[in-house]
Amino acid sequence: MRELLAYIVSVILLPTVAAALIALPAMFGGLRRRAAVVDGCVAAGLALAFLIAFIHEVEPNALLRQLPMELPGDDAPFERWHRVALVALLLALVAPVLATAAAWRPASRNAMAAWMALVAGALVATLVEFPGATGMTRVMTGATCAACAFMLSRVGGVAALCASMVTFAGLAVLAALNGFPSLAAISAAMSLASAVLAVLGWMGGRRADGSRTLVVAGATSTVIGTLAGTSAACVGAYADRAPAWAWMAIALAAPVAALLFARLRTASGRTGTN
Amino acid sequence: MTTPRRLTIVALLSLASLAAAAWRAEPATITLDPVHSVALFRIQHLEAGLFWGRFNALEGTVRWTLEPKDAPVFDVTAKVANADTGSEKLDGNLQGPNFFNAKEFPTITFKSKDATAVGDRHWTVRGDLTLHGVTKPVEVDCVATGIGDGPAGKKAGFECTLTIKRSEWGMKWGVEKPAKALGDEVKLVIALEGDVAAPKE
Repeated sequence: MRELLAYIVSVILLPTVAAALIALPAMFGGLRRRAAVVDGCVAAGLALAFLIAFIHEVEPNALLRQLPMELPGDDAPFERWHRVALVALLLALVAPVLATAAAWRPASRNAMAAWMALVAGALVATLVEFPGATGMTRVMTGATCAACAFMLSRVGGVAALCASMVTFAGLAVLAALNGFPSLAAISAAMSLASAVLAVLGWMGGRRADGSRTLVVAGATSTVIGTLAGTSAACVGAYADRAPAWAWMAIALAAPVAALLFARLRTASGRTGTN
Repeated sequence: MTTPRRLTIVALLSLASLAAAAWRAEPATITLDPVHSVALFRIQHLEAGLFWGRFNALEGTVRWTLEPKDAPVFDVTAKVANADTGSEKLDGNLQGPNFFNAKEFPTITFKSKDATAVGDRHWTVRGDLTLHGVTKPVEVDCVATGIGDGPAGKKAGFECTLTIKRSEWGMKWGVEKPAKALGDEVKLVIALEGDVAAPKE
């Protein structure tokens, strides 16, 4: 029992705490008004949560094996699914840049977020190759990442984090059911981290006057969309029980629902005003 | 006895022993019969029960002279897809990336390099075990269990046992994280039977 608790703490709770600590300063107080800081902190927090969960679940060398470097004394095999950790590492590193770029011109934030989603999707399609991948499945993986990121950028705010929570919870359950407990644990960590950040964002919004909207378009949407799409494709590549498109549909379901809900809410708000 | 006669006898004996050695050095190829060749594995679950599973339909060859003192040379392959635990769900889990990662490493192979006789038809065989994409040397205790006649010809059987630490082959899930979910030590009992083909003339 103690071992299981230690496992849950290290793989699921610790990444969540790390994400919360990084995002916390940006959620409350004056920093909340600075879109680039909020977006960058939330995005980096989530990418780091994924990375920490992976390192605790697998091992640091699994990530280092993805890099062009020699690891003395390491004779464990190179496994393609470990590439998801490299994606998370790159996203954590570029998150501040993406956030700064997205906030450069607030008027063109949506266009910027769309470009980021497209570039992230193209990079995933080019660089990430799971077993049995074909040109079509790689394009589908990239398109899923891009679509997921774009929709979340249009949803924005706490709703995008809630969509992330639902997406990763779904991936966690399905990965566990398909004999992939490691990715299930990492997805569970991402779901919990998204939930905690959503709660913090909501609480920060209630306390901050005039800056209730949590800006998570651009960096955060790119991080969530890329990691969700890549993770879904990863589970799909190793599980034979469902076709690849089914996994990608799972990654897209919550962002689609969140976007529809946001549109309906906006439409009903307009109707109410009129 | 005169010296030339002695020399002739010595020469004849030498030739006979050389011929015997040459005859003995030519091993037969035993092609494994997948129906009767299986590898059983045993692992401890949650520090409690000892769980047994198997890899069905082993393939490969054994080169052996059929002489009790001569060591066989093994080249055996198991397909990860043939893992059989009696539970479809567990079989699926074993194929997954947390265990054998069948998509990337679809086979397990053992190729013997040399052997030391322990007794009649009993050897310690040293060779390379490739599992989960990692190749490491192992020592296997092998016994030739019998040579019999089947409807299609001569058959030979072996039983080999070894114990490995799966973490040394990069299969670490359940050893430390989650701690003690599954044991690190895996005992393997490999039963082989194959059709003996006569050495080529």
